[in-house]
Amino acid sequence: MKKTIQSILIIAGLSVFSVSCNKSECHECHYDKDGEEVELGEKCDSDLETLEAQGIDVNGINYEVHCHEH
Amino acid sequence: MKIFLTLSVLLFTSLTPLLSQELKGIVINKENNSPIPFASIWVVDLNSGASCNSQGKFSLDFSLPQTMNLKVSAIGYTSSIVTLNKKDTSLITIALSPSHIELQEMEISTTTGILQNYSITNVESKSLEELTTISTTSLGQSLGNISGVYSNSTGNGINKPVIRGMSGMRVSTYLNGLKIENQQWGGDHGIGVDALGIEKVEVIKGASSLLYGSDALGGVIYLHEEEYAESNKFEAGITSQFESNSLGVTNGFHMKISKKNIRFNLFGNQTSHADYQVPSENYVFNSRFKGQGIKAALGMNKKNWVGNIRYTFVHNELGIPGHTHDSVPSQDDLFKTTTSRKKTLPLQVNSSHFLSTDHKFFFEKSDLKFTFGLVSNNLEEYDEKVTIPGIAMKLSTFSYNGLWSLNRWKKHTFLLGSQGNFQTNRNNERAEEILLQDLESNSVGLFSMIHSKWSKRLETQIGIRADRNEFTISRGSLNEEKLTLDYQSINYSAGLSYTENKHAYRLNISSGYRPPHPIESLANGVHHSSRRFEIGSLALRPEFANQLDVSYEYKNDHVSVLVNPYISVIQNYVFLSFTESFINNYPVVNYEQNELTYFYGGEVSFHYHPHFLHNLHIETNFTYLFAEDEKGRAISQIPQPRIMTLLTYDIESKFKILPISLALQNTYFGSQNRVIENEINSSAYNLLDLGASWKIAAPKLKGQVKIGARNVTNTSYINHLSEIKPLGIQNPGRNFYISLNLSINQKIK
Repeated sequence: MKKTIQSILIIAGLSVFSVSCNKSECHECHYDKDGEEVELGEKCDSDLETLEAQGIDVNGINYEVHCHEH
Repeated sequence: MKIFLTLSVLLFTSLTPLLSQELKGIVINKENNSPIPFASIWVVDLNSGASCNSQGKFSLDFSLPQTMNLKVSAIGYTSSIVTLNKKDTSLITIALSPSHIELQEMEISTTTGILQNYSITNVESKSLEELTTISTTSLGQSLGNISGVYSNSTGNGINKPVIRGMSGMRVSTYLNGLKIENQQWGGDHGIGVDALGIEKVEVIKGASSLLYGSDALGGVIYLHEEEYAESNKFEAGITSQFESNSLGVTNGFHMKISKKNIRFNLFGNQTSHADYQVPSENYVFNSRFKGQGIKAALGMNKKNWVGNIRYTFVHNELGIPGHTHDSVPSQDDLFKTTTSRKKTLPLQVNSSHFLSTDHKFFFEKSDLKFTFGLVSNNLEEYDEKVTIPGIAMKLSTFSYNGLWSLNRWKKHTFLLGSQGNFQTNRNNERAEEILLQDLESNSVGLFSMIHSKWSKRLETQIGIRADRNEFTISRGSLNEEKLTLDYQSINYSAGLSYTENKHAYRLNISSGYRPPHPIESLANGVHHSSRRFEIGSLALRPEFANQLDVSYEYKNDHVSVLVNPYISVIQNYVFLSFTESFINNYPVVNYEQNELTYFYGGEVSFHYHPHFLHNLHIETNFTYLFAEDEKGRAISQIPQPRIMTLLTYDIESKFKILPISLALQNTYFGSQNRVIENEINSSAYNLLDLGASWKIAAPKLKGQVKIGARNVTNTSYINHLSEIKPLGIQNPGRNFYISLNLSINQKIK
């Protein structure tokens, strides 16, 4: 009986943990230049945040970066 | 603080002695006085109880309040509610009548706790088990199986209930006494909770502001959490469901433990669905969703006090299908040939914490109940960027609810109650836009009601309520200065029920009130997931509804028929009016209101259980609603007429391989051609669902396996209340499911 209760509590605990655990987030990113998409590859976490917030500078021009599936 | 302490001391010292004796009794068959084995004895106020033994005898050996309601039920018998007090200390005998149909005879009102022969207000109570005879994908879809109730959906993941044509801010949803506050103004903001740990749903149809305050204009959804385990028992289990159409998987667990005077429940689940498939075999892009939930409840009782602490956490990541930046959407944007569950945009991330504590004190001639609650809802909508939300808001609500019930008189019960909440809405600085400004609101309501039981047949109920709602809104694009909006209202309800043998009649008139939400007054921006640019108006006045609801019910051992027409008149009905303008390719909509709006409708239910075929049950309900404004013009989003028929057949066989029951559900939706400008007509369609269930029974282990399919004929259809209907996105095609639940239970010392 004790073992059953312990097992259930461990499962419950793990579930709570999985809810609160932040996993790494990665997405394929690109920017639009002259009507064409320029792929930047997969970006994760802080790189992803920086690109979306600041865009990307190419030859002195700042382009907005998009990181989601179409 | 001193006053509070003094009141607390007075309260506790005035409690009358507890019923400390062991309560013993027997449950018998009313027709032949034979004992009924394994009947369930439930102490309603404690949410716990015990079972009879094989001789029909029971014993309640835990601390019981001064007065209590026992719900006694057994398979094949009409359940009964018995009120006991400390004088009933000898062996009690409870007689149940055999019945083939579960009759709704005695009622205990959820909010008032009053025992009544027949519900005076229009309440429909269904267990989740009944609503999922054929398994559903979501709680919202399950609620759509109740007569008069529909589901407004945005794909598979977002559902909100529609009661008699009204939803969102016109319907209040309660989770065990705590009102769910989760930015329900948005057409794409769902009910906010799932079926985790929910045992029963009560739907109050129509204006119910007397007991539920402002916003309960169209009705109330009251979700009851699962009861605790029987006294001195431990129970644990798992549930799992797979759905073929969206490759949906839901896994959950539960644990319940009950000692004499303390009880604990714990639930958890996780769900993940990929994009769903339409009958053409394409997948609706970004209809994917996933979520997790945890729910815990701790119940205690001592002498004449019963208390509970409850906590629920729900986190959902919901894809928003039908995303396009083009005024004429391309089919390639909306549908794909492959499915996926990978997170993409647009996305709605919705997390809510619900914490509440309720306490009930029993006195000799009265009882007092308090509920305090905290709801914290975090809503983020991502449209263009995966790490920077388009809008992000945190809504925090502290609510309180007090109810004093006085039973000093033989025929009358007097109720005095107060409800209120303090609410703040804060925008996150990370968000790109502000659709609804930061605001604070303060609502308070005071009500009283008298319930009178004039005879065994006739009961009446009358009540009145005063409300005040104040909103303080920060400076925004439509208001240059901080703004305070103040609304007051008086509401009422009066009704009677008369029962005579097999006939029951009910008449109820009630009012409902809803002040304009700040989003309706001050919106000035894009609501991405609704795909429109919304503009509010400070000129909006509160909505006020009056409803007349009558019903007649006939029932005998084999047939039950209910006819329930109603009329609801709403002053200042707020609606979204589409203009011809577009801003950034989004259609511009204005919040406007009608002088008067009329809702006429009714529900008819029929339950037949043929004498010659006892294992067969035929249940049918018909729902119809007609709505118009004072000039006879149509109202938007009025549900299609619906006939829903469920046939269930219970199989009694020695062969365990055979299912214990088979179910067939046919739902016919009539066409809806009364639409407003820019709204699309809906064609009639028919849906067929099938299900079968097997029982797993072993010593200390019980469970069920369910297999079935929804939309068996793979019918292509679009429900009139689908938010993605304007884009021509169909509802899901054929969907096979298999579900398993297993639980162990055993006695503990």
